[in-house]
Amino acid sequence: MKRAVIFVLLLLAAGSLIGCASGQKFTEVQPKMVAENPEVGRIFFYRTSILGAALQPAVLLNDQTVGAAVSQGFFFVDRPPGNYVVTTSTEVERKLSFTLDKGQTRYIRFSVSPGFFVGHVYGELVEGSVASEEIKDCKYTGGKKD
Amino acid sequence: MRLQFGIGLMILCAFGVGCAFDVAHINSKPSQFVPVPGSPKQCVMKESVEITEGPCMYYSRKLNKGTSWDFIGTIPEGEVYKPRDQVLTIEASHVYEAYLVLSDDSLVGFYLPVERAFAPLPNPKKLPIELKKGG
Repeated sequence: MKRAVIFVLLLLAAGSLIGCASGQKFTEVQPKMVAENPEVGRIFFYRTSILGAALQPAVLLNDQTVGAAVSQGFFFVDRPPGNYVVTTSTEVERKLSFTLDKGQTRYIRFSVSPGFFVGHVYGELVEGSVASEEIKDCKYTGGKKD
Repeated sequence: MRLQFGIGLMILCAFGVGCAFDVAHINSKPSQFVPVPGSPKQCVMKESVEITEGPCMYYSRKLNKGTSWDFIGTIPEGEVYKPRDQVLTIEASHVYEAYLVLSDDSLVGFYLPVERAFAPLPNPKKLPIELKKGG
């Protein structure tokens, strides 16, 4: 009985690790916090929690896939100023709308809330002072590095 | 028979709960925004303010002491102030960035810049603000 419990716990632990990001840490990548081109803005996406790590929905920015919401992962994109909507879907769709100015940096944090069958992954707009601390331990999951 | 009824009721309740995920909406209406170039003035929050009544259920937000808000334009409901150093959002099923809408130093609601909509407060709230010249 005891062995069965340990086995199940090990399986759960392994399962949660499988869902986590495995790239370079933010502090190793050291991305610039603002876009190099002053005419555009930069949007960071990150997820700190390992809760619901197996859930890694695609992240859509104005209906275009830009990455995935991976536990303990981050990525960023540069975009021209304008209105943006970030969409993530599991059993329901969650949207976050925000504006981006020239030279501005926005931070989107993904969290998981309980759902009926599976959890809901949703984005929140976070202040730079908070995000720059939270993102430090996240690992890079994007394709482009500046 | 009772057991079957109970199971049926549980399934119905479960579907009801499932449906509730997407029914929390913001009370808002389209509004005509007229921009003012150059942010001619700004307001500074003299004290922290808790907003506990909002355009959706269970709304709670704190406007931090010392934060600055740029006057960026008007809508028919009042003057629109964009945060300079605080993130402000309204959350229901979805999350919306929001700006303050003031009328006579009172917060009357929020302007949603992406949706171009006004989300009113149930009751206007007087804010402890200091108006400064912007730019």
